[in-house]
Parts: sequence; structure tokens; C-alpha cells
Amino acid sequence: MSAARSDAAGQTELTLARAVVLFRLAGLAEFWIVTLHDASNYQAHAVVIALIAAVTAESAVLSAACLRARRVRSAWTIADLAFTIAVLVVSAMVSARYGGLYIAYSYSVICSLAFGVGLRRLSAVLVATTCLAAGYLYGGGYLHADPAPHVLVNAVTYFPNAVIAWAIAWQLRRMGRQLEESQAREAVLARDQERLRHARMLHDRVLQTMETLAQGQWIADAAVKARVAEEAVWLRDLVEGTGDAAAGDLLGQLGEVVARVARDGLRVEFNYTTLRGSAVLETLDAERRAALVGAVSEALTNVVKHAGTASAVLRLAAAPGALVVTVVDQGRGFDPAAQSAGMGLKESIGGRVAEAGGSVMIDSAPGAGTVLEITMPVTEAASVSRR
Amino acid sequence: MAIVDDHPVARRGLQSILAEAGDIEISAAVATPAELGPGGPGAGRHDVIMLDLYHDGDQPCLDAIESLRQDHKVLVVSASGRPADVLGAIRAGACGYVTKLADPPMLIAAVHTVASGGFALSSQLADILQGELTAAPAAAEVAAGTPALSAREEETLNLIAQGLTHAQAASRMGVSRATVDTYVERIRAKLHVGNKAELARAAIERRPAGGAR
Repeated sequence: MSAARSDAAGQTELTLARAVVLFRLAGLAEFWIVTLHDASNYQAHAVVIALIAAVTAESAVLSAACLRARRVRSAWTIADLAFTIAVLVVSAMVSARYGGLYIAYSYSVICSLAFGVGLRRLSAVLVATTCLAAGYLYGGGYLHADPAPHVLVNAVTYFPNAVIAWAIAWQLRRMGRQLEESQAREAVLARDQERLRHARMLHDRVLQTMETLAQGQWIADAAVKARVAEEAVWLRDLVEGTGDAAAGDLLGQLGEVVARVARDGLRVEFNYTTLRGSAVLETLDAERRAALVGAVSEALTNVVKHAGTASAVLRLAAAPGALVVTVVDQGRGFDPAAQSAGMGLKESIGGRVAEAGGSVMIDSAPGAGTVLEITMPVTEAASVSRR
Repeated sequence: MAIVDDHPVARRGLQSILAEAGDIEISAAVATPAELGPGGPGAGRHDVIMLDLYHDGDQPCLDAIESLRQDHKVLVVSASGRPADVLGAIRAGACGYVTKLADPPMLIAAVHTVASGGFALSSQLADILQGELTAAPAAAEVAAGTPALSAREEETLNLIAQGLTHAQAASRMGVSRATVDTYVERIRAKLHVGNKAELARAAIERRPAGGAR
């Protein structure tokens, strides 16, 4: 998108900068012609030559700056305005004292076009043009003492010049921006379509095969099979682009835990539909989140080590004022009353969760699987508002 | 039973898993629901049809479920799916939903449940149903005329979504296993309520514009 930005808007600015340079060259040529044409009338050649030199130098500096920056800056325009007013006044002094044409007027008329291009706001253009007109009235009307109707018409001429130039520049800039926006939209659209096409192909071809391979007896090696299952889950997440992980770090982190135990051969069904769009996850603070992730990780590791089953269900659901996380397996279970079996779970999971303000319930019996339920309180506001 | 899945490898995989059960006979394995019709390669009498929810593209084949359920029991199988589409499949008359990543024993158990006229309510399906029915009773639900779940039915759904078996849920709730079975049956009955026009409209309303599966 940044490429598109430099293209349309940058191209517009460069075009306008070139216009300013051309206006300036035309003004300069006119200044030279008028001055040289009338040169024989001046006694103080040195002053006239100095004036020509100054105008030429200023034009060269401004043109070089515009071409180099590939745009016109408002600050340069303001400086140029001040210089032009000075030229109007000085040349009026020169011609008033020594006689002859008021050499700066036609130059300043062409300069006023550039002010319309260089200033972004109409109000700024109007103020600048008023200053320029005032400079002319002082130079041409007072110092040079040209006829009053003539002077008034000349002073008014600046305004249509500058305003029309401003209007054209404004229109060009707006079109540049619009072009840029539509290019950016097209780029996003094209990217989305491409992604969708790739996702469809991956889904319809590769994923179906991988998910089948992750099932049944096609792959003899359990580790390879688990890996294929894990990759299939990852690929499905990628092509479906659910983005659930972004909704709250907890889902993403739990997803990583699920992926990790999948490598150990434990298939975990991760259920959290009721939390979709719920605010509970966002309000869970980092400490509680870490406690939950740690507890779930420990619980699933326990299933891998002791339960003797290849599947478990991890579920997240909201209860009034709390987030309830359950880990259930239909494995061999244990007697919670027996010290040795229950201790690990109680200590490592219960302690961690209790520190964060939550509670743990374990329900198990030999041969009847294990239910582990973690209740983690959340702030009231979060649990009330759903979707 | 018949298998309908447009992906040949997935079809072959399901066939192989179900064949391992020993007491399931695969009478047809075809790519599209149309092939089960008269004159098609899969024509005939099937007790259960295992139907892939998504065929060509992004839309779940709710129409196919509607027509197949007239003569068969339909078990929907999908690796994933938008919760609303899964709910739509159940409303359209499917007797259950299993994920393609389910354990082979779970897949087989679901087929048995459906074959014997039950509702194969996996923990994932229970999770989706609870999420869709209780989190935000949307206008579509009201339009389709679904009666609200009772507190006990919702509790049942919640426990099954956690991964508990019917027996475990029964012991947690302090009721008999048969009572839980009744709750599950009632949940299904409530989902199937609503006339066809309303169902079709609800299904159309559910189809969001665009978006990958």
C-alpha cells in the first residue's frame, strides 16, 4: 500500500512542483525582457543589475528546491511571497526615481499563480494574494504613481489568478488521493481473493487428505500420526482464518498447549463456542490467564502420563462472575482420597489456581475417567455482558 | 449405511474406520447426495447416511439434509464448520454431528446411536448448541419457533459439552441415566420444532455473506 501511496499523491505533488517551476521561469523571462527593453532609461545600471541578479537567484533556488523535493512546501511559498513583495517595492523605487516602466508587475502576476499552487488552504491563498496586492498598491500606486483605475484593475487581477490555480491544484490533489485510495482497496481486494483461492485449494485438497491420514490405521508410527494431526489442525486454523487467538490471549495460549500435547499423542477437543464474542476473555488479567494456562497444561500432561487414553475434552464457558474451565478424560481415573494419586493434581494445579483467586474441583474414580473443573472469578461487568 | 463425502480420500478414510467396527455395513460411498437418488450409484435403502456438511463451496448442504431425512437417518460429519451452520444442520433434521477428527470409537458410537434412533450429541455439538441457543437468543431462533431450553436441559448440554458421558452427567445432576437420555431427546425435539418454511428462512438468514470456512 505504501507503494501505491507514493505513486498517485507523489505524482500529483511532482506535477504541481513542476508547474511552479514553469510559472517561475515564465515570470523570470518576462522580468528580463521588460527590464532589458527599458534598460537604456535607467541611470543606475548597478541597481538594476543587482535586482535582476537577485530575482534570478531566488528563482533558481526555489526551482531547485521544488524539483529536488518533488513537491512545493507552504513555507517556501510564504518566503517567496515576502521576496516578491520586496521586489515589487524595490523595483518601484528604482523606476520611480529614474523613470520608465514598472518592471515588476507582470513578474508578480505570474508569481501569484504559484502561490495558488503552493498553499493548501483557500484562506491562506486569499491572505497571501491580499498581501501581494497591497505590495503592488504601495509600489505601483504610491511609489510609481500609476493612474488609479489602472492600478485597481491590476491589483484585482492577482485574485482570479491565484484562486483558479488553487482550485486546479486542489482538484488534482483530491484526484491523486482518490486514485491512491482505490489502488489501495484494489490491492487489498486482490490479496484477499488470492488468499481465499489458496485457502480453498488447501482446504479441498491437502487438508482433507491430511485429516484422513491423521485418522485410523494409515500411519503406523504414532508420533508421525500425531504430527500429521497437529499439522492438520494448524492448517485448518490457517485456511479458516478464525482469528480466535486474537480475541484473547487465553485461547491462543491454550491452543498452543493443545498442540503440544497432540505431539504426545493426546487428541484434545477444545470447546469454547459459548465464549465467542464474550467479553470475559478480554477482562481476564495476566496473572489469572497465566494460572489457567499453567493449570490446563498440567492437567493435560497428567492425562498424557496417567490416564491411558488418547483423547480429552477441554472446555471454556462463562458462569456468573467466573470463567469455568474443565478438562475431562474418559481414562482410567483414580481415587481422589488416596494420597499418592491425588497429590500431584491438588498441589500443582490447585495451588496455582488458588493463588490467582480461583478454585479447583476434581472428580474421579478408578475406571471412570477424571473431571477437573477450574473456576476462575472475573470482574462482574465482564461476566454480565455477552456479545 | 451410506457415506456421502466429495473428497475421495476422506471417503475412503471414513469407510475404513467404520469397517473396523465389524457390525457396520457400508452400502454406498458416493461424492454427492444426488447419487443416492433413484438410478444413482448409491440408490437403495440405507439405515444411516453419513453426510459431509460442506460440499461444493462455502454453504452447508442443508437442503440435502432436508430431503434425505424423509427416508433416512442423517448423521452429519464435518471437520469443522460455522456453529450456526451446524445448528442449521441439526434443525434441518440431522440426528447428530461428529467431527472428522473424532476418535474412531466416537465415530462408531455416533453411528450406532443414530442407527438405533438416538441423537448423537457429541461434546463439540453440545458446545455449539449451547453457544448458539443460550448465549444470544437471536431473532432467527424466535422466528423458527424454538422453545427455550429448560434449566435442566441446559445443564445437560453444558455437562456433555464438557466431555461427560450421559452416565457421568446423570450422576453429576443426581438423576438417572435414562433421565439424561430423555433430556437429550427433548433438546433434539425442541430443535426440530418449527415448520419447514420457517426453517428454510432461518437457514437463509444464517448464511453470512462471504467468508471462508
